[in-house]
Amino acid sequence: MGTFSQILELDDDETHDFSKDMVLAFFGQALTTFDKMDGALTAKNLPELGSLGHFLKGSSAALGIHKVQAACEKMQHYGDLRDEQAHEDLTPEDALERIAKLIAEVKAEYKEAEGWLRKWYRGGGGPA
Amino acid sequence: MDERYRSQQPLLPLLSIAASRAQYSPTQQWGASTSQLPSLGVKREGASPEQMADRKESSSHEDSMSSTSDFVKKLYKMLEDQSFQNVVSWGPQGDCFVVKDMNEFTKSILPRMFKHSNFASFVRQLNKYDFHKVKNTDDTQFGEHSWTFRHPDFHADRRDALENIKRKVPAQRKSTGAAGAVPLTPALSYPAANSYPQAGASGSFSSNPYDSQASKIDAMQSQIASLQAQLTSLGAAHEDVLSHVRNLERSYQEVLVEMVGFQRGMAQQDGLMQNLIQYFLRENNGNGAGKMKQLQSSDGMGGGNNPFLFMQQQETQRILDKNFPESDVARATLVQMSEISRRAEAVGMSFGSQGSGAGNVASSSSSRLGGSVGASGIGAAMSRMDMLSRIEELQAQRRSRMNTPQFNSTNNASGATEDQQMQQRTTSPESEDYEEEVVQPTPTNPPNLDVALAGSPDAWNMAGGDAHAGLEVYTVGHLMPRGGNVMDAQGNWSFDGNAFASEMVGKQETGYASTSSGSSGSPPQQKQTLRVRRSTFVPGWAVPPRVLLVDDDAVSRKLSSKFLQVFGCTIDVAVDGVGAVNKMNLEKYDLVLMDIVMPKLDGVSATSMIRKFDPQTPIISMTSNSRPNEIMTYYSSGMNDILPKPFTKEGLFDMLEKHLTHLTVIKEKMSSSMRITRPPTGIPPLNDAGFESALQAGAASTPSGSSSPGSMLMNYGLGSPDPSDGRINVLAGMGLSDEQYNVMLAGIVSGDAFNFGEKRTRDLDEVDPDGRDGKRSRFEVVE
Repeated sequence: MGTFSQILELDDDETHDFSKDMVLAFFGQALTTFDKMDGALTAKNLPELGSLGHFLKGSSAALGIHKVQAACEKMQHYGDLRDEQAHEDLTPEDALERIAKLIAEVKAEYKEAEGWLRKWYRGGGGPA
Repeated sequence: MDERYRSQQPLLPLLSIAASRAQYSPTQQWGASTSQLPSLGVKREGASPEQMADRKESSSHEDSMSSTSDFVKKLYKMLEDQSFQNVVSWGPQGDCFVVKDMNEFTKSILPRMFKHSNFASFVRQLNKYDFHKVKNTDDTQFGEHSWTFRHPDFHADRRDALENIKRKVPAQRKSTGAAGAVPLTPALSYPAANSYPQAGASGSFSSNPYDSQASKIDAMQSQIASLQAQLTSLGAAHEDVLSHVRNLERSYQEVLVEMVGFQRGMAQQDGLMQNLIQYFLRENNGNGAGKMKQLQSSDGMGGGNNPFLFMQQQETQRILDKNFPESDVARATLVQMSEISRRAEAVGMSFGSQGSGAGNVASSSSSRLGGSVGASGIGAAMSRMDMLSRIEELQAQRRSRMNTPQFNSTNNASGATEDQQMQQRTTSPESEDYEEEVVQPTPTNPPNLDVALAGSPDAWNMAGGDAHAGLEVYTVGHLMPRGGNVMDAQGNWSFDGNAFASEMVGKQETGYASTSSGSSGSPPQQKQTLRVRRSTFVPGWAVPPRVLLVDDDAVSRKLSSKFLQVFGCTIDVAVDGVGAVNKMNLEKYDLVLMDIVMPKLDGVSATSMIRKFDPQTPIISMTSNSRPNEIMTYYSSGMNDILPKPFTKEGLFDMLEKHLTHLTVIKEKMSSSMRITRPPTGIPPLNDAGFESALQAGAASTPSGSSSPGSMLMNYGLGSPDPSDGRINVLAGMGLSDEQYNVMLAGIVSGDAFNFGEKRTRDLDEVDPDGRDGKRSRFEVVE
């Protein structure tokens, strides 16, 4: 959570207005992206899925939500028909199948992170 | 080539010959030599010309001197020849011979006797035959330039001993090669064996053991001689190198001297430019608009011809870095100008109705800032609450003063100046007077500065120059403690220019930080401005960099802009490549941070498009895709650097520092102001300790800002000096009378109430892309 605490340091006062804004923007953005992902999956639009993965990867990385970040990175590569871990190319069908699983995974990770963050802010802050 | 040196060399090896003779083992050498005989026929072809010549000499010997070498015979004959007596002759004892006139010898005798005219090779040959030059210390009868050579067996009356004079063995290593059983032996030992055929030809070889031994010695000697030749050539080479080094040293010193001279010239030019500036400023202030064009042209000229001297530090650096043309100089001042106005705006002044005054106000306020930081910081221990109450008092004061307005009166108003000074003095102990400076940005509209804000490039440039002057006032004030008179100081000024300039900017920075905290003094928006203040403590920018942030991800965008804000940058935002290109078209930025993957137009394409019309502005890609081939794509599209995502504050800061060095000033200087102005993280923004330390720093480095303006008078030649203590209205340098100044203050105070609300939103909305446009348009509306 180093990234997140660094963001908190940027807050000007006890209200955490800045970081809260950012986190809320992330929530909104993530939900929109999930919607788009579902749409792209239905349309079997792999490039779009890849770029959506990239997009969410960027914003989750900015907040330091590494699990979401990692899952999104995988999705990005699957979108390019590539498995970076196994270093092999994928067929479109294979990629879509994996992405379908991955989206569920990302959503779960995101829920967890969102829960944690909401709790953190509800609790009025504290050490991150 | 030093013949003397060379010819003396062989003296040492002579001893070693004697030693080797004693140890000489005939049988061994003999065996080695005979075994080589079969190959000699072939090998001989490869012998050096000199050796061939030797063989010819010895084979075509005369009867009288059967085994004497040709060279020695020629030598002897030459000495016998009476016609040569005046040039070369036997020494007095007949045991040596003397070349009395080297030139004559070289010219006439050498060609005749030895078929060449090279004295050096004559001496070399003498050395090969083991002649040695005798130092002519005791017998200087033949003159200093005579050469005396001696050989133990070379006597005027001992013709038979000439036989003993043999060519020395070519080289030592060859004889060792012959002795050892190395594979190369045949070739190496050849010279050693060389003398056998000669001896055979003379008929003494097979029957005379002594002869063979002598010929071996001969071989040895010739080896040694070639060694000696090597030695002498080495010595000569060494000599050459030494003289070369001496030459280099000499030219190095010359270069140094020239550099110093050049620096001196630059200093003089600098002084001249300063004078010019002052002159034009004076003109400008005296005649107002009419002269502005003139100044502008001189400004342009200065920028074109002599970029170092005229511009402020950061501009100078920029110019130096990139060798900007004139137009960029204008731009630099423009940027600087608008930056100052931005600051002024942040401080709380309103441009709304009197936008035209802004340029002047900004510059004057900056000069004011300079002076005031020094003047104020003293009583920094005062608490913020006290300050707030003081502000209100002061504002009330000003309102009353405003009741006697004297619009646009002449520049000298010494009485009022004094008045003003009094006020300043009374307030400064409580570190208050800078509050008034801060608020001072003024609604009044001094007629002579309208032109500066007319919006034409010329006028902008002019305004920049003006601002420069305002800033310079500060520097001058800084100089005061040691100089007292800026004219005096000018001669040296440019030499120390860097130090001063950096100090100046450092101060400015400090001043700025405290300034914005000062603006927080207005109760209604206190908390909000605190945030602004905190975020504007700056690493050390001379002018806050304008950064264009291009990112489609709102989260990253927020984070990046927050970072940038903390680093004191002015931020503009585009959400995709198209927006970025458009913004680059409209505005000038110091740096672009570009995301790669974006809708509509990606970062790479956007960069290539931008590069078509803007080849300079650094563009840094922010991306999480940083594989080598991708990075290559980024660079080839014209990006300057890569900042991998997610980046940290430090990563971003390093990047800013790397690409915006021209906006920072000397680091060591800055570090102090950084330390002072950066509040401890995690502590609520306006902590009094940090604030006070900033003020104290200002006070410490500028003991009294208000005492310096005496020099300002010299600088601008206007504004009336107060005869009693030499102080003047700081604003006089800007062509403002005290009356005008007071009116300005009053206007600000009354204007605050109306404009704060609107301004606050602008100040705080760091991602408002239209903020700058709005501001500029206000400038441009003016006519």
